[in-house]
Amino acid sequence: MVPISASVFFLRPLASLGRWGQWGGRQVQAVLRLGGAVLRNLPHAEPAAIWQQARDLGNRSMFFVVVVMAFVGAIMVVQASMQAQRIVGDLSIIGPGFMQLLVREFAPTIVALMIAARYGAGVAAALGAMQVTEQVDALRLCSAEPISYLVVPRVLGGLTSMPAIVVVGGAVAFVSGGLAGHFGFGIGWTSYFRTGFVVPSDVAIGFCKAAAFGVAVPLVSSWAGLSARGGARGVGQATTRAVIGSSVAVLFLDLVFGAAGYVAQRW
Amino acid sequence: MWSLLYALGQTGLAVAADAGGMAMVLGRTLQRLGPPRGDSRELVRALKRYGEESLPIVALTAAFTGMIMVVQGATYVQQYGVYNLVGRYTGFTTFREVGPMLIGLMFSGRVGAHHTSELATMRMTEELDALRVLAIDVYETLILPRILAMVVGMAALVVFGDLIAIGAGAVCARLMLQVEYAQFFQALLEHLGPMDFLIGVQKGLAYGLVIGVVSTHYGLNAKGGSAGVGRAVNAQVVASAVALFWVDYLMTSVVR
Repeated sequence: MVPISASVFFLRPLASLGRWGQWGGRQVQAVLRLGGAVLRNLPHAEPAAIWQQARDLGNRSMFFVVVVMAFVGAIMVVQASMQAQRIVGDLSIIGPGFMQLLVREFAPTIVALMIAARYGAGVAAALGAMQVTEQVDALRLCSAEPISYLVVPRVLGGLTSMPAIVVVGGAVAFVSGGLAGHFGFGIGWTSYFRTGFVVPSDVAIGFCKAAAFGVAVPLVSSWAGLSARGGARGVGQATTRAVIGSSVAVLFLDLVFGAAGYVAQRW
Repeated sequence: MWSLLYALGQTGLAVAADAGGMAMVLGRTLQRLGPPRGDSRELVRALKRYGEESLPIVALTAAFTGMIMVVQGATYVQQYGVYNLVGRYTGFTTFREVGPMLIGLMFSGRVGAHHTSELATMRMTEELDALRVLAIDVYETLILPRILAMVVGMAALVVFGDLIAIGAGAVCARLMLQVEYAQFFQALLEHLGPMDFLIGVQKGLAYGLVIGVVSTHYGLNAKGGSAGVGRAVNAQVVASAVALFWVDYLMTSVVR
């Protein structure tokens, strides 16, 4: 017989881990099913609606992304310069190295996390409010397919404008990092503003990441909005789920693309 | 031209109004601290709901963080053959910057959003006014305990998250770069002091306070029905992210 203590300290955490796993699996399944429905409805997309959503995701997040990425650039260059001063004392590779890391990793990921917070929460709030006031069912009654009307434009708009805003965010971070490096550590302009470290495969990885995030964030947020239940409280919960869900999706895809890029570069 | 100037001015005014509102929230909360007047049962409840129940999502985020750090450095490690530095840079970046920041963003998405939407719903349904009529101070009964819970919970989650991130990073380094666990942790312990870890925890405390103040401000000032709840939550997530990066910048350039 298993002693009580073992069951408390070992089996219970294991059981709750399994429950979380099952729960997470169901959520992923639901998102993927929505993705399949989006693929089936792709031919019915309206260009005007796509541009509207691309504008909503990109142009209207511009101020927010610029402010955040300016801080990110300055923080990273300050940290890296402190480390470089302590170890090698050579600050000339900070600029090009930071550029490479930005292109490959930080610009797509941090911008996508910010878009998940601003645009994803907005999508979930809008679709969630439509869902709990039965407007989505009304669409279905008018024989308008809600997915092709509500979700497809958001996904395609995200795919269009996410790479663009990633480029803007990366550029802002690089410039603000240059300012921080110049005035904080005396890094020369010409030694900072170099792009020599960036190779085509870095750009390819960065672009693939941005495109994947551009699909994932609207998809997860739409799923969160459409599965909202029960009044104002349900809309609030949907917003939370959209932010958390799309952030986790971004981190997961980042890991997958990072590992794939590493393997591809080795061969 | 003039419309751009007008828009800039409008943005500036809105930012100033929000900053002032947050300062008021912070001041009123601190005022309740001396002598401490707060609902201790609400504190325990909030600690459980905000701290303990955020553990799964924080563990998942932290595991991704550790692995991403190793994966990102893998190319350089192979290029220069510095397999003995993997533990060092993974620990440094995770402890000091990326761990607290990503955990903070998740915390604001889950806990801050929850707090905002609850306060906003209470305001819409005039529960806050009812409390005022009953002479019950909403800062003592709800806000102070919850902000305290956010500060403590966030710091504790950073401690847990750092450990999980390092564990996941070590596994990833073993699988991808064939760095032995012993070598990974030796590099970590040799080059990093307790300060590297504590700076992260200190950031966790600050982020918890920031998220608490920002989410309270947007919850108390929500307007306009159930769509207003959604808008308040959205504004809270955005403002928290900006505030977190701003505080991070301040702490990075001050504590160096």
